[in-house]
Amino acid sequence: MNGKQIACVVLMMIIGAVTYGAQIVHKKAAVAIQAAEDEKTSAEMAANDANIGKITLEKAKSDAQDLERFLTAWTPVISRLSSRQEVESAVQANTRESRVFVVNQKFEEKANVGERMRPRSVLASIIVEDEYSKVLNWLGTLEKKVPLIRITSCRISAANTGLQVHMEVNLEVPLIDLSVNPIGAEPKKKK
Amino acid sequence: MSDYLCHDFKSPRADASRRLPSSFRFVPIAFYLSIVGGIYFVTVDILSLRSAERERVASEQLRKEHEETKAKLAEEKLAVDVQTAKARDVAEWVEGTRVLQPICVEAARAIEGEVKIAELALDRNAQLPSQIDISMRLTGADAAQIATVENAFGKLNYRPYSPQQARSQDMIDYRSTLVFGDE
Repeated sequence: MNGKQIACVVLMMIIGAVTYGAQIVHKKAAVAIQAAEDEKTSAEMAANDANIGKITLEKAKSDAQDLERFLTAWTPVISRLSSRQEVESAVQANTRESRVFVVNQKFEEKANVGERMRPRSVLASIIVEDEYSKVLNWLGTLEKKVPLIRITSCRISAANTGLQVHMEVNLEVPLIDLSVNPIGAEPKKKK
Repeated sequence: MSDYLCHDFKSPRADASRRLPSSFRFVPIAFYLSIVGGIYFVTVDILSLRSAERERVASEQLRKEHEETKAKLAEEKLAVDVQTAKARDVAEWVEGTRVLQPICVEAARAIEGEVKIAELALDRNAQLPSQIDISMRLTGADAAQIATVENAFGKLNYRPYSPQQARSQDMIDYRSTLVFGDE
């Protein structure tokens, strides 16, 4: 090989090296551009998801407005009847105020299996005998003053004495725990 | 003058190496072009790369912000769902606490004349607490009297479902399930 040929080979090798180097840089640039495009797409999708989340939240808030108001209205009642003693005293206070003759009354507490928010209930069995109007007023005020009360059964019959009526009432009052999450999933706590 | 005459003392000599083909004249041109082109393309690519890197970082930041917003919204939504579930649970209970006293009062008011209620029993349905099983024993009553009582329940927005009457001597045993009107 003469000098001219060697010079040509050297030049062609330099041309090859320059082309190769430029190609590598170009590939890197293409990869970076693609990564930027992907990231941009991800950001747009995340923005879209956030927007959907915002709309969903607004809708959930709007749908829950009535229930929210309902719960707010009932929260003081629920708080007032959070233990067996409170239920018993509320029922007995009503009985005292109504001055109705109580033949028998029995309170007991039962566990509600599978009920997250209502883990326990107070059951009561009350037998009263008095004038018809007093007995029915007693029942009416009991249902009014203890709004969570569920009268499971009520039997009215004539009492043995005169114009009096005999009423047997079975009732249930749940001890609602509003601190419990009924759906199980807990909101994440901020660290 | 001869082509080979350069100097008096120099004699013409043959080329030390053979000439390259004329097409090889493009090799230096290609060299210069590759250098210039290489510099141009590498510069453009490096600028693009830096720009893409900046865009990627900005987009990543934006994505993280949106994801944080989304997580916050999901958390808020969960809190709303929890409150809604609580309210539904309470509402479900309250739905089954419809007062019984007005039913007793209306039944008694509807009774007229010589008719008497020997016994009145109201039992809440265990599965559907908003429905009430009523059982009445009336003395001296007739079908019209029963209809009056049923109308009285209608005033409270209850309608009797599957009413049954059993008559024995002058006693009517009436049974029915009271279903609240909007159910």
